[in-house]
Amino acid sequence: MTESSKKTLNWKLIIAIMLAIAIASGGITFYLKYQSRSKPFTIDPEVMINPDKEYHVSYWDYDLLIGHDEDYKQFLQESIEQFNKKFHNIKVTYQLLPFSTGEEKLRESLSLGTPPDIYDDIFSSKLISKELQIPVNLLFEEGDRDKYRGISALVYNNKIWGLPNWLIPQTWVANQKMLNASGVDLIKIKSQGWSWDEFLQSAIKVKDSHDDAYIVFNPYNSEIFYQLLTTMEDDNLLSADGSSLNRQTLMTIFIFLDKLRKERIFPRKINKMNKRLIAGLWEGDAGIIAPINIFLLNNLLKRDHKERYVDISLLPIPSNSSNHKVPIKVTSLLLFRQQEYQGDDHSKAVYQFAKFINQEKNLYLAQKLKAIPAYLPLQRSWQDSVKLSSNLKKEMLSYVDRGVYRSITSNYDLKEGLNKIIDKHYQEFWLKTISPEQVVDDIINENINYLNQGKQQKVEEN
Amino acid sequence: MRILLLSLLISTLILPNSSAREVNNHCSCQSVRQLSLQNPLLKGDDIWELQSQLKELGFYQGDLNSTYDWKTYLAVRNFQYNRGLEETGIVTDQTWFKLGDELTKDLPLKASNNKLALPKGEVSILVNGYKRQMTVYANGEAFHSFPVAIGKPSTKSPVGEWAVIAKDKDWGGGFGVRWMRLNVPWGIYGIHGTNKPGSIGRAASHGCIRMFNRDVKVLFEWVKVGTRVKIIGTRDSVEMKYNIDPGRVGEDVLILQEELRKQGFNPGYTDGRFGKDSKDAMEEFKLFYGLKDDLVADDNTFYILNIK
Repeated sequence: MTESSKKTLNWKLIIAIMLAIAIASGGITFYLKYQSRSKPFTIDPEVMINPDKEYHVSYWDYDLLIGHDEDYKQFLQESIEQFNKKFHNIKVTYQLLPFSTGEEKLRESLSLGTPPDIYDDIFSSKLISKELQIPVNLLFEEGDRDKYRGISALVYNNKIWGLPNWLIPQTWVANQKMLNASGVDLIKIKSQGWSWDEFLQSAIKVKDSHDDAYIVFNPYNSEIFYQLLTTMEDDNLLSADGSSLNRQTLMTIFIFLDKLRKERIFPRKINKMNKRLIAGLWEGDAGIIAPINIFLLNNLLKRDHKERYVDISLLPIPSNSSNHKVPIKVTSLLLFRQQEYQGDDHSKAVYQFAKFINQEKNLYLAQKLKAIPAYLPLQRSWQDSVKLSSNLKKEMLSYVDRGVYRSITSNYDLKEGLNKIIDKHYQEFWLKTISPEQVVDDIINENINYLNQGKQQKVEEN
Repeated sequence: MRILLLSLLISTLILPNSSAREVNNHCSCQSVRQLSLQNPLLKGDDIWELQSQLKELGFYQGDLNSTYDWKTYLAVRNFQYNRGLEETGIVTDQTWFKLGDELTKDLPLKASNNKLALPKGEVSILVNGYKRQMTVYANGEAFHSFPVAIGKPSTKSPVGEWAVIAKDKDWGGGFGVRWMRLNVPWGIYGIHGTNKPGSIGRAASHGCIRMFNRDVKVLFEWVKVGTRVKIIGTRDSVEMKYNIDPGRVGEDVLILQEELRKQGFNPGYTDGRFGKDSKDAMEEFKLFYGLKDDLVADDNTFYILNIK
C-alpha cells in the first residue's frame, strides 16, 4: 500500500468513526428523551433524604396578611427556623408574589423549566403543569391522604396534584336584618340550603321590602357563574371528550340569571351595579351581595362590628340539584420539579417543608383569614381559637360538611382559555343586556375558534 | 343645545374641584409688610403671628384676632421700649428680628454654621411637624437636623411625600434668602428662610417650611431638584365625597394613597397625584378584593379602606 493510499484510508476511517459516534449519541439522546417523556414521573419510595447533603428549597407565596407584611415575613422566617431545628440541612428561601402577576410569574418560570419547589395556590388553579408538577401522592406517607378534607378537588387522572391548605365555603353575604324584615326564612336556608327558585322568591321579597332595596351581583366577576355551576347536578362545562362546551349547562345558568334580571331584583342601572356592591350593603340597600372572596369577607366582618344597622350573614349558594350541596373552594400547596431534575431525595426534602408549613403552621393563617384548615387534626383547634361569632363559625363548618368540591376537569391551558371566554361574555351578558341564547352562542363560537387556533398552532409547531 | 349649555352650567357648579388650584409664582406666605395702627385697621395672618409672639413674651393679653388694633399697638410699643428699640408702634424687620431673638434664646434651637460637611450619597428630607424639626438624611441615615416653622393651624403644611421641583436664590422679602419649591399639586409650598426668626420652632407659616436664613443657605447647597421631602404632622380631615379617577390630583388622592399603603398596596409616593403607581396599586386592590371592575376609587373602595 502506497503512502498516499494509506493517508486516504485513514481519513475515510476517521470520518466513518466520527459519523458512527454522532449517530449513536444522537440515537441515545433521542431514546433517553423519548423514554423520559413517555414514562410517567415516579419517585422511588426507597430513596431517603441524605442528612449530609444540603438541600435548597424555594417557596413562592403571596403576602397573605396584606397590610401586615412584616408580621407575615416574621411568621415565615420563624417557621423556617423552627423547621431547620428538625431538618438543619434543608435550606428554605421564600418569595412573596404580587397578587395581580403572581400566577403569570409562575407560568413564566414553568416555561423556562425553573419553577419554585413549592407554590401556594391561593387562586385554586390546582393543576398548572402536568409536566413539572409533582403529584403529591407519590410522596405521601402512610395515612397522609386520610388526614385531609378536600383531596377530591385535587384529583386528576388518579393523581393528587397538591396538598390541600384551606377549605373556603363559597357563600353570598346578606344583611340579616333586611332579610328578616322581608320575611325570608334564614334559619331554613342556612340549615337546608335553597333552590334557585327559592332564591328568586326570596330576592323578590327583599326587593319589595323598601323602595331602594336590591340584590347586587358584580357583573365584572364571573365567580357567580362557577358557583352556580358547581351546585348543578351536571356540573361539567365540557362534553365527555372535552372537545366542546355543554350547551345545556350554559343555557341553564344564563336562563336563571336572566330570570333574576327580568324580575328587576337588581339596582335600576344594572350595568353599574358593581358600584353598589359594598356601598349598598353598608348603606342598608343591598339585601344580598355576591360574589365575595375570602379577603373581602374578612374586610366586611371587621367592619360589621361597628355598623348598627347591618348584621352580616353568610348564605349558601342556591342550588338546582336535589341535595343542595355547598361549593367549597380548596387552596393548596403545589409541588414542582425543575427541568433539570434535582433527584428524588430533593423532592422528598421539598415535601418535608411543604408538609411542615401545611400541617404545623397552617393554623396561624387559617385563624387570621378565617378559612378552615384542610388538615383534619387542625380543625378542632381552629374551631376553638378562630375569632368569629359562634353562629358564623357554626355556619361555616356546617357548609363544609355539606360541601362539594369542583374537581379538575381539563388541562390548565384549556381551562384558562375557557375562563377568559366566559369572563368576557359573562360581563357582556350584564353590561349589554344580552339574551341567554345569544351569550351562550357567543361563548360556544369563541370557544370553537380558540380550540381551532390551538390545533392550528400545534400543526405549525410540528 | 340648551340642554347642553344647562348641563355644562350645572356640572361647573357641582363638580368637585379638589384638583390643583390655579397657582401663580408665589407661595402662600406673604412678604413682610410694615405693620402699624391705621384706619381702617390692618388685618392679616402676619398680625396673628405678631400677637401670638407678643403674647408668648407676656406683652399682649388680648385675643388673637389678626387685627392690628389699639391693644396690639400698645403691646408693640411696650415691647420696643423694653428691648431698647425706638418706640414707634410700627413693626418692621428690626422688630421681627428682636422678637425672634427673644423667643429663641431659651430654646434648644441653633442656627447652623455653613461649615458643615456635605452629606454623602442620596439626600432626603423629613419635616416633622409635631417636633417642628427637619432632619436631613444621607443614604437613609440621619445626617443633620434643623429647627423649622410649619403652617399654623388654619393653614397647615401639606402632609405628604413631595419632591423639590425648583430652587431660587432671589425671592427676598419675607421668604428669606433661599427658596426650594415642592411639587404640592394644590398650591405653592416650599422651604424658605425668613425675616421672622421668632416663628422658628412654631406653627406660624402659611404652610411653607420656614428656616433660619443661615440654615436655609446650608440646606440649599445640599438639595437638588428632585430631592424627596416628606412632611408629617396634623392635617384637616378630608371628606371622600367623590369618585377618584386615574389622573386626578388633590388632597383626596393623597388620602387614598395613604390608605392603600396602610392596607399593603403600593401607590408610590403619597403626592396627591393618581399616576401610574397609584393605578397599579388600584388594580392590585380591585383584584385582591374580587371587584375587578375599573381603576376608579369609588364608594366600594372607600368603605373597604375605612375612609367612609
